[in-house]
Amino acid sequence: MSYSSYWSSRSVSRRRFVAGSGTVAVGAVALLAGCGGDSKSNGTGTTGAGASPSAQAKPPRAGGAFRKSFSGGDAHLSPTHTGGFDIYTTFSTIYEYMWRKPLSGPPVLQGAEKIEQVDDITYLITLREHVYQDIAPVSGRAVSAEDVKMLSDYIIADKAVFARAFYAGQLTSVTATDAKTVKVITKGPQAYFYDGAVGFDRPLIPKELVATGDLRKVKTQIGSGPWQFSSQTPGSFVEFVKFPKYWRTGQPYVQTVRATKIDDESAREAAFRGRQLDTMVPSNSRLYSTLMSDLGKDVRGMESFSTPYAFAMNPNRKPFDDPRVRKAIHRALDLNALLKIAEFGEGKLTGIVGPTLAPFQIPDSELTDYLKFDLNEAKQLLQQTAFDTNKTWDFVTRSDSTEFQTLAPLLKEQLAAAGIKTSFSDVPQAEYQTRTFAEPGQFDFTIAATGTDIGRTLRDQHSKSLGVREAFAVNNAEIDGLIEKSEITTNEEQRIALYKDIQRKLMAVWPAYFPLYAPKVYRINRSYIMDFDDNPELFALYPQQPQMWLDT
Amino acid sequence: MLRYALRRLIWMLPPIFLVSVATFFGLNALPGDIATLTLGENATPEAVAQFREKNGLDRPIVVRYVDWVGGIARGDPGDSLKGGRPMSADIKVRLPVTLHILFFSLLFHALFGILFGVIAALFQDSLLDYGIRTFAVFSDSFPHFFLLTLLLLIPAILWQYSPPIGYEGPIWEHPWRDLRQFVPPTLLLGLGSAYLTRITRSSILEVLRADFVRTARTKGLPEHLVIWRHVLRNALLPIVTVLGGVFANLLGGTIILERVMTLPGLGNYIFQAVQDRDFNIVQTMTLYSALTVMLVNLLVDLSYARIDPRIRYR
Repeated sequence: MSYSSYWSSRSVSRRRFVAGSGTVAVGAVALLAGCGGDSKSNGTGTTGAGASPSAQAKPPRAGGAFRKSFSGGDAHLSPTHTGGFDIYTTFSTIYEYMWRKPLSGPPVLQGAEKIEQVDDITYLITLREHVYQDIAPVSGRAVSAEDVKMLSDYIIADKAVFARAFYAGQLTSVTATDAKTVKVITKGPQAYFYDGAVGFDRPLIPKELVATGDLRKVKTQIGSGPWQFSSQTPGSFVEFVKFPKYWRTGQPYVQTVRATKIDDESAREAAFRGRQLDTMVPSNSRLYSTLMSDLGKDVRGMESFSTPYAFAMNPNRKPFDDPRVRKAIHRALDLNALLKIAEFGEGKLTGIVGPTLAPFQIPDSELTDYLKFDLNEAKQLLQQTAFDTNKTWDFVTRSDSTEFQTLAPLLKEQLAAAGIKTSFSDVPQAEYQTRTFAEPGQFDFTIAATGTDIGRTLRDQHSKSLGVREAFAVNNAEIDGLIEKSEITTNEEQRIALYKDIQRKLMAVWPAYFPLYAPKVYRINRSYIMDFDDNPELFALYPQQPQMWLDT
Repeated sequence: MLRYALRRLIWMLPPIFLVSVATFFGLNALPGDIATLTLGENATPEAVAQFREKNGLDRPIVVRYVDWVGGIARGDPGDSLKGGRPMSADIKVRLPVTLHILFFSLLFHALFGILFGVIAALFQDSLLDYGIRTFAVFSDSFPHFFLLTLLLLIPAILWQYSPPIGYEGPIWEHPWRDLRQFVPPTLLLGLGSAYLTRITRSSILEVLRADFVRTARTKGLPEHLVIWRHVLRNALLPIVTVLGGVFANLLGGTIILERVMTLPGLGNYIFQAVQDRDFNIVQTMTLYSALTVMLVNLLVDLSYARIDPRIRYR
């Protein structure tokens, strides 16, 4: 059986297999279910009614518990280090920021009341009055400029903090000029000042917490967000309650937010169906469709795109420095077939910038030729360039990544159809990084993640990509120059024009590192959840927004 | 008996030492670097080096081994690599969950295994005997993760019911919640105690043919007393021995149960640690697990004298 047909035949998923076999065990389970209680024993204690227009028009109601799940790490409580709770799904409740930067447009102010750009490199940030840090030992003290400065100093000092790259590399100083004013001086004009200086892992936290020396050792979280930390059972759940001194008067509406650690998708599905979770992120389109169809009006679905996975060839090795060879490889890859097999057709083919960064993409009409699959043309180009079809090329994959293990065999098969033989080097993450990140790179082909922001996405195509994915760039001086220019162009309109120009130039030389497709991602909410942003861009800004309320 | 127990405890030291050596050096030989796994794909070499230094990963492996064993001996297993949390605190939080699972699992295994075994022996070669044996083998043949997934999904799909998620506290604080959480999965797995059923059946059958059973019946002792006082007690030795082995299996099985049923016990703790390459946790928990199995075996051996007064320890 070929890999393609193997993946096509994967349609009997574990869930369906389990459900299909269910009849055998119904009797036993019915017996066991007798040990259970009623299904309404949840925080909200309701059944979810459909979200009718009249319900939408109701005034927000205070109270209730919003229940969600998270998976992965909960090894520590630091907001700035990896390995702790997922800040998107748990600590977004506790924390707020000086501002949040949407993909395009001005920053949305939270803890900051005003940002004044004095000159190209100086920013004066005035903090809002009546914004307080929540629990002990700070217990309601107002957020101060000193809090911001202390966290900045900490980030620069701790090499394990990811944000350090921006702080140490791009900022000259962060000072507190008075109790409510922060002065930031950058090393030069910074296009990404608003994204770099404030991010998810740099919330407004009190200096007392920072002064403990290692944020990974703290026993609690303190922030200025709508909810405050209440309790945590390691490996199980974390609970937050409404912060009474939250600066948006009357908000948040929801009294309690509880996040439970559920790593297994079947358990997550069971908990969602059993009304023990109010929201769920299904991992694939089939589960999403099944839940939507089974639960009907009780739920509402949201669809958006995820960051794409990319294919990379090594332009530091011959013959991949030749744009004609790169074009041949582009032509040899049938991205639609990949999408169909690996994602059940749910996703979108994309240029260099994916749909998660939609404001910066070039129009789809300009991608038609770039995305074209043409095996004959690929073979002709390989012939013209005297490509060695007898050689077996080194395809480095990660043994510990499901995505890599799914995509690599499909790509190998497609390359083989064009006469390009490959052999897998299946290595763990650490070795993968050693072989693919640094120039000149010890690989011919590989798969890689793509940047989640526009700055990183384009920097990855620069010959000096600042420590990560150095070996993927096509080493084109003109493109390097344009990328550098975009990074210091503070005028957004001009910068977006530059982004599009960079993409066109890259497509003209056939990039060595390019997205395969952007898969779809899904979320399902119980329909009694109101005013939960459906817009993916806003969703990233306000994951558990204080305006949300439960129509229960 | 005390001298025997002490001698057995001393004899545990060599295997424990071997387990510690095999675990520590075996784990450290595995590919996959905790520093890069913890710090993420985009970590700079500088950050990786600092992490290694901070956690003592740059020291010679023998020095690290001695430090680790010294810590265990002092009762301080140290901190997890990922997050730097004290392991003793983590274990303290998670141990009750695993103890709940082990208690109910062992209870249902013993209950069903012995009960089915006794019934099968008493009705030897009857339809009931064949039925019990077939059911035990049938239910034991299914992978546990499959049964547990069924247990979660079928009530959820059919009746929108799922057991409580997350652990809130011991059974004396949340009896109803904990019963709903722990009883169904452990009961389901307890039904599949085929090995114990077979051992119980054969052991009872052997005792039933003994002269003293015939004597007891001949003197007119009611059948239930014959079974309870004479047969079961004399058949208990192999059953208790097997229960010791069942405990070791259940200890391993908690990983699957905790994983699928979303219970924050030690099994999940080890599973997550393996995924994170958190060697400190994996090696410590492996050692504790080996020690627990050895202690349970010692307890089983010591119980022999209680079950059969003829047994003397030297």
